[in-house]
Order: sequence, then C-alpha cells, then structure tokens
Amino acid sequence: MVKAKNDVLQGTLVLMVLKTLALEPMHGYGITLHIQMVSKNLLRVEEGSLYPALHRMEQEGWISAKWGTSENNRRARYYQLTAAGRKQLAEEERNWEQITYAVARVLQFT
Amino acid sequence: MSWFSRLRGMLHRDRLQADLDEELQSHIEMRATDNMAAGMTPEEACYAARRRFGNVSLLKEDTRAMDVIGWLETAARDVQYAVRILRKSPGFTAASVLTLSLGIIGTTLVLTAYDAIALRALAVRDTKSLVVLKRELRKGGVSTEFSDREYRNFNEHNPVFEGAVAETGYDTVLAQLPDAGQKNLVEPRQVIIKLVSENYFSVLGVNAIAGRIFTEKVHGDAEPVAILSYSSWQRRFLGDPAVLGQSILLYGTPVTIIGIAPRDFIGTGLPPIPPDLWIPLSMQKRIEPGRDWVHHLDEPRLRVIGRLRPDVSARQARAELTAMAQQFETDRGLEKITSAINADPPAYFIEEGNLQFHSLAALLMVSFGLVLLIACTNLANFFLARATARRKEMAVRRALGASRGRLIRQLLTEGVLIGLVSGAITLIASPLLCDFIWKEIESRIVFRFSDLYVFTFRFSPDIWVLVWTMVVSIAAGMLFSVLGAAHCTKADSHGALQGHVTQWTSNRGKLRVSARDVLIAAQVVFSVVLLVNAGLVARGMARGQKVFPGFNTRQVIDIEFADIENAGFDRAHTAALREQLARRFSALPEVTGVAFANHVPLLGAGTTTVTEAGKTAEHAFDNQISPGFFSVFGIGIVQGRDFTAADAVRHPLVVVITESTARHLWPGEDALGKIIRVGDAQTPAQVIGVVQDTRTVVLGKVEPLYVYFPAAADAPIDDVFIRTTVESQTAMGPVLNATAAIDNKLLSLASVHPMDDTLWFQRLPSTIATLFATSVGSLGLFLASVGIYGTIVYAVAQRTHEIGIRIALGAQQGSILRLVLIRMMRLVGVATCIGLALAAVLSRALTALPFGIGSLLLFGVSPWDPLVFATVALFLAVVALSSAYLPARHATEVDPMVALRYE
Repeated sequence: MVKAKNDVLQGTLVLMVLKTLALEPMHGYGITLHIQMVSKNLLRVEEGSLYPALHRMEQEGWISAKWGTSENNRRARYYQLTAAGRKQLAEEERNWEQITYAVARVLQFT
Repeated sequence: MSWFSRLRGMLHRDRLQADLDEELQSHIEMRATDNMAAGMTPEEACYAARRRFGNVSLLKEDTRAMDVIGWLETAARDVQYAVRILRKSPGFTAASVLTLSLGIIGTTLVLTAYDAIALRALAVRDTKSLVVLKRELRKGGVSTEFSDREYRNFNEHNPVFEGAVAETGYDTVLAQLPDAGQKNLVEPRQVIIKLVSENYFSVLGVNAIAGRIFTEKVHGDAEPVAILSYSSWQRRFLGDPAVLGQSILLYGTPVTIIGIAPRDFIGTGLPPIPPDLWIPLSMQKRIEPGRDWVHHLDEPRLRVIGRLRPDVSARQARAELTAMAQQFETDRGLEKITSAINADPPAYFIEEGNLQFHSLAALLMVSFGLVLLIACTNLANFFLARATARRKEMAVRRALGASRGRLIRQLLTEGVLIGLVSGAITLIASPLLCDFIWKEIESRIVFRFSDLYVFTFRFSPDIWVLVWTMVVSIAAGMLFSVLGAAHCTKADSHGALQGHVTQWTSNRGKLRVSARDVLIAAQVVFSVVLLVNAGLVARGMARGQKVFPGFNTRQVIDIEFADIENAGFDRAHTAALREQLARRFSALPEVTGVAFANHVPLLGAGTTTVTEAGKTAEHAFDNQISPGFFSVFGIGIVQGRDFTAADAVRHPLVVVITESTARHLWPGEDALGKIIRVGDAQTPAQVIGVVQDTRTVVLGKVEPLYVYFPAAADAPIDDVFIRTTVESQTAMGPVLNATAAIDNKLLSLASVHPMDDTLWFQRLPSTIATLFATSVGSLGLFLASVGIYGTIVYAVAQRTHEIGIRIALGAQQGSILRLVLIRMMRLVGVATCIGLALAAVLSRALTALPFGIGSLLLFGVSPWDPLVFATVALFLAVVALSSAYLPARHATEVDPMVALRYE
C-alpha cells in the first residue's frame, strides 16, 4: 500500500499524525494535506494506511474523535489529541531523535 | 481502554460501520472538491480521489478489524468445528458424557437434597424477621417450651416484637370425618392437630386460600373452629371445596372448618409435617374433654415464635427478652430457671447446629466425591486415548503452521462442550431423581410407619447446585482434554507423520512410567478405596439387619398412654386402673400376657447407679416393670425368678439383673442373693433373678449394666405391653375396644404401636445405609470396571506394533504374553496396595466419626476386615488380568507383517 520511496512513512506515520494533531484538531483529509504540504510533497500519506492507523490510535486512547462541520459545510470527523496522546507524542519524538542520531553516527563513521 | 472500546465496537458494529462509511465518503468528496478547484473535471476529480484510496472495502475491513475481539470469533469457529468432530465419533462422545454425568450426579443429588432439607425457608411472610424462642436453663440445657402465661407476657408487653405466636406440639386425636362426597360420618380415625394462638396466621402473614383465618376475637366459648391444611384437604377430602363450613367430630365435639391453608404452608413445627388441622388454643378444653392443660397456665407447653420489629436486631431482642423472662419469674414468684432467652431464626427441618445431620451429609458428599474421581480418571483415559489416535492429524496441522496453543485451544473446546452437555444432563436428571427417591422413601418407609405423616420436599436445583455442577463438569472436561491435547501435540511431528507409535523401549531395569500408567494406577486406587469402604458398610449393615435384640417383638403390642394424670386419672386411682387394664386385656381371647413398664425397649431406658460393696458407683440402665414383663417379651430367666406383685412393696428392695451385669459385678460367682446399692441414695437391693441379655438401648451393643426394678402398684402408667397370639394388626381393634370399654377418655390418650414397627424403625438407619452403600458401591463398581477394562485394553492394544516386531524377531507367543501381563499386573498390584492402604486409613477414620455414626454403620465389623479387603483386591486383579490378556493374545496372533505396517 505504501510506495517504495515512502517506506519510512509506515514506521513514523503515527508520530507524524500525533504531531499534526498537536497543532490543531483536524479531519483525515486535512491530516494528509498538512503532511504533504509541510514536507513539500516529499511525504505522501496513503489513505489505506492512514485510516487504520487513526483507528488504532483512537483505540489506544491517544486521539479522540468528534463529528463536526468542515470548511465547505460538509460533515466530517475531527480528531484531536488527548493528554495520553501528548505523552505518547513526546515519547515517540524522543525515540525518533535517538534513532536518527544513531543512524547519523553510523553514516559519519569513516 | 482498548478492550472496552473493542467490546463496544462489537456491540455497535453497524452504527460504527455507517460512521466509517460516511467519514471516508466525506474525505473523498473533499479531495474531489480540491481536485476540481485545481482544474479537473468532476468525473476526473472523483475518480482521482477514489483511486487514492485504493481498495476501499479492504480499507474498511482493516480499519474495522481492530474492533473485533479476535479470540471470540476464533472461539465461535472452534465450537463449530468441535461440534462437527464430536458428532463424527459418537461412541467417544457418548461414553465421555455418560461417564461424567454418572460421576457428577451423585454429588449434585446430595447438594439438591441438602438444599431442600436444610436450607429451605418456611413458607411465611418475611422469614428473616421471625425468631424462635429458646430458654437456656440455669442448670444447663435448653428448653423450647413456655407456659401460656409466659407466652402472653411475650405477646402483649413486648417492645421488640410486632407479635408473637404460640403453638403446641403435634397431637393425635380421634376424629370422625364426613366421607368425601357422602356426608356420612365414617369410622373414627386418627388425625394430627396443632393448637395455636389466635394470631398465628395473621402474625405469620399466611392467608387462607379458601375461607378465612382465625380472628383475634375468637375465644374459648365460641363454637370450635379449625383450619385445614392443604395436604389434608387433598388427601382426606380429595380437594372438595364443599368442605368449608363442614363439621368434623373430634372426640364427639363438632368442629367447623373455616379455612384452608395454602399449599406451601406446612406449619412451623419440627419435623416439618403439616398437621391436619390447626385449632385455636382457647378451644382446647372443648376439643379434648378431660384434658384442660391450657388452664394450667404455668405449665410449659408452648413453642413461641416472634416477629421482630423492623428496627430491632436479634441481639437486642435476646437481651430484652431475657430481662422480660426473668422479671416475669420474679413477679410471679416462680422458680428462677431461666438464665437467658435465645432468639434464633426458625429452621425448616434441620437446625443449623445439628452436627449429626451435617456430618452425615459430609459423609455422603465424600462418597460421591470418590465416585466422581473415578469417573474423572475414566474421562482422562478416554481423552488420552483419543488424543493419541489423533496424533497424526495434529502433526499434519502443525506442519502446516498451526501453533501448539491454537491446537490445544481447539481440543479444549471439545472438552468444554462435553462438560457442558454432561452438566446439563445432570441438572435435568437430578431433581427428577430426587423426587423419585423421595417418593420411594415415603411410600416404603414413612407411610409404613404411619400414614398420618406427610413430609413435603420440593427438590429443585438452586443456584449453587447449578454453579457447582456446571463448574465441575466444565472444569473436568477442560482439564482432561488439555492433558490429552498436550500429549498429542508434542513436537515430534516427523515421527508422528510417519505413523510411529509412542516409544516402546524395553522396560527391563528401568522404571518407565507413562501418563497412561499413572491414570491406570489412579483408577485402581480410587476404585479400591471406594469399593472397600462401601463393602465394609454393606457388610456391617447386613450384620445389623440380622441382629436379634434379645427379646421378641413379634406379636407384641405397645400401648402408650400420654399424660394420663392430667386427664383426670390421678394417683389414687392408678392402682385400680392398672388392675382394670390388666384384667380386661387378659380377658381378650387373643391376649396371652400383659405387662407394664415405664420405658419401651429400644426406645429408651432410665439411668441409675449401681454400687457393689466397696467399689465405686457405676452407671447402669434400668426399667421399672410389672410381673410378666419377661414372659411377654420372651426374655429367658436364667436364674432365680420373675417379680411378683408382692415384690413391689418388699423391703429390702429386690431387683433382677441381666447376665452381663452379673458377670460384670461378680465374675465367676453366683449373683443370686447378692446385695448391691442402687441410686443416689445407695439403697440396698437384693438380686432375686438373672435374665438374658437384651439390646434395649441401642441395637449396636449389649448394655453392660442393666437393672430391672419392680414397678409400684400405683406407679404412673406409661406403657402397657400385650402379647398376642395373632398378628399385631389384627389384635389392635379388640385392644382398643377393651380400652374404650374401661373409659372412653382413655382411648383418646392411647397410641398403639406393634413392637415390630419399633424394631423396624430402629433398624431403619442401617437399612438406609445399606441401600446407600450398595448404590454407591455399584455405581463405583460399574465405572471402575468399565474404566479399568477400557484403559488396559487400549494400552495393550497400543503395543500391537511392538509385539508384531518382537514376533517377527522370533519371540514366542508365551513369553510375550508373560511380558505384557507381568508388566500390567505389576502396575495394578502396586496401585492396589496403595489403594488398600488408603482404604484402611479412610475406614479407620469412619469409625471415628462423631455421634457413633461410624459404629452404627460398621456395626461391629472391623474397619480392616480381611474378607472385604481381600475380595476387592481379588476382584480388581481379575478385571485387570482379563482386560490385559485378551488384547495381548489377540496382538500375538496378528500377522507380524500386518502389525509392522500399520498402527
């Protein structure tokens, strides 16, 4: 379901969605737009992986969902971060930094 | 959080599905809108948006997949599969279910019966606020009887009671009932009545289902009324509603029936027998002419039950009531006998503290528990055998990638299903069985003793019995299927796939014990323990049945006169009355002997002390008898003579003693003429006769010391014994007529019992115990034999492969047979020894049971009786041998090539 170029997306999808929602509550479409825009089209979220991930995060209690109206007066489901989600975000950010630091060190070694 | 929302997800499945649909739809539309804004045509926009989603239905499935509780769905699939598999092997399924049901039904029966007998509540309003008053005596002991004045004290000036009711014990009176439908009065027959306070029904909250209950205003001079019990209404009047308002003659006094009690209400007495009639206390004088004890207002006669006010606790009540009772005694100048008043909840049949009953119930549970254990080992063997047969299937599935846990779970489901079915069968069968057993007991025992008494038990499983049965059967199913499953899913897939059987290396020099061996051994052990103990009890009971009490009970009638003094026959006239009775009875052609005594043999004896010159006083039993007692009962006079009329007034006192007593006091000497001192006063008494021993107190043993005293001519008349030439039943009529001829009132005081019935009643516990031991023994025997046989046959048949190889390698049939049989017999032998040892421990414990239940059961049979032990051991050996021999022999006759090729 995920393009080869965006392999890394699978592992970091949750992290990025949490970060996105930390800014403001959004619906699913909005999340894909946001990530695409901020990464300057380098990262493209496939809907096929987004919705299962959103659902799992909801089960875990990191995000909560509510029906609302979108910009063009359409009914959409808005997700927002919960307190537990905030904690999870912080943890995953920490993990990510550790991993990238480690990988960078390996690459820098000559 | 996650499992909870998953559960919710399952419940709101449809709605959440619709939500997701809508959410995805709106996402697509939003993207399409953006696409159009970017310049695409509407169709292109939609298409592009949709395409980005890829396979929408798969997406929906994936998303929703997290909601489902995974194990529940797989469990449902497991159940379906298990049902299919079990249906395909009906033999195994039927055998397992039957075994488990048979095993557990015993315990379920005991629990149901216990619940019906011991835990049932009275059928009155709000039993929780009712208490029964018991008086603790200063000199020790408890009394449940209060006088009329005391009762009124409790009822009228009582801050803790809303109301209090009083009742007497059961009384039998002669009544003439209108014949059902014919309105003619028939022969007088005995009915049971209970006298109760006027507020009895209203305080208890019981309403008549027809007619009305007593009103408080009823008083002694009004026309006597009564309330009929439901069972009596059905039995005597066949449920005819016209009985209301009719009159019954009780001792010639007409009593009107004004109401019928509800079906469930059997009164508040112990034992729980509904009387035929309830009659207000104030009418007692009218009902029983000549016996006016109600107006002996200070005589304790009444059982008192009170209803506590809602805010009063039992403890408060006790304190308050004790104070009231003691104050009452002081006020009226009565003897201060009360140390406390207890207020306990009323029991339906067995009171909570009744240890005898409870230890008996425990004994029953243990016995049936053993049966259950045997059944469980059978079950384990079934599962194990089956699992072994399915090893190949399991190996294939493991090779295809199934995890061991998954396979075990699936096999577990089969076990649970079997447990469920067995439990359900047991639960349906046990109340039916209980009902059947009780009806048998009623018809054979209760009604034989007296057709007056009607016990009602309703056997219906209550929640705890249900829980117990289902839990045990499901647990058994689970446990044993897991054992089998664990065995057959072992990781030896390669070997199993190729069809190899379990290892069969030589056992010489090594002690290799497989799970199957353990199971066989367990079966043997449990069976031995159960069979030995059942056998001991059966033997003891058989012996008990044959015990001759030492006196003749055939054709001897006992007439008991109750409260003769209160009826107006005072002491002065007793002597004359005695003489009259003796004369009239002797005049009857059927009568060959008449005697009086104050204790009925087998129903009790008095106690006294006996001191021989110089030695310490010892306890002895005694009885006061008239001349002719020994000949009426056929007790042989060994030395000396019987009493004569003159002995009653002789000084010094003369006594007759039993052989055992003589041997005990003067071993080796002649007892005639010797002097002993009896009683607290150490009155000297001379022995003028020695008679044969009798078992008059307990059938179990002969009393060591028993003394007969001559009854005084004016001693109160308690029991008259009449020896007849005809059967007791035939003689009853003339005897009763003779009694009536002296004085009609006497008839109302008499209750007549053939002594045979008394003996039969004394033997009753042993009869029941024999029945029980036999049934438990048979059940255990059946299960054990089937189980041991089946297991051994299977175990030996499993070795066919090995035996084939041995024969192919040149072994002789004889040596193989020996090999197989010796191994099996060694195993069974060891197990039997362990079983015998355990059985001996248990039987020893049996004799130590409280209240002599143990000695009652075993009746003098040694708990280590060699005959029983040997028989059981022999029997099991034969079963084991025969079950091992046949398949072994068959295996040796199979063509080795066939044996080698196939399992």
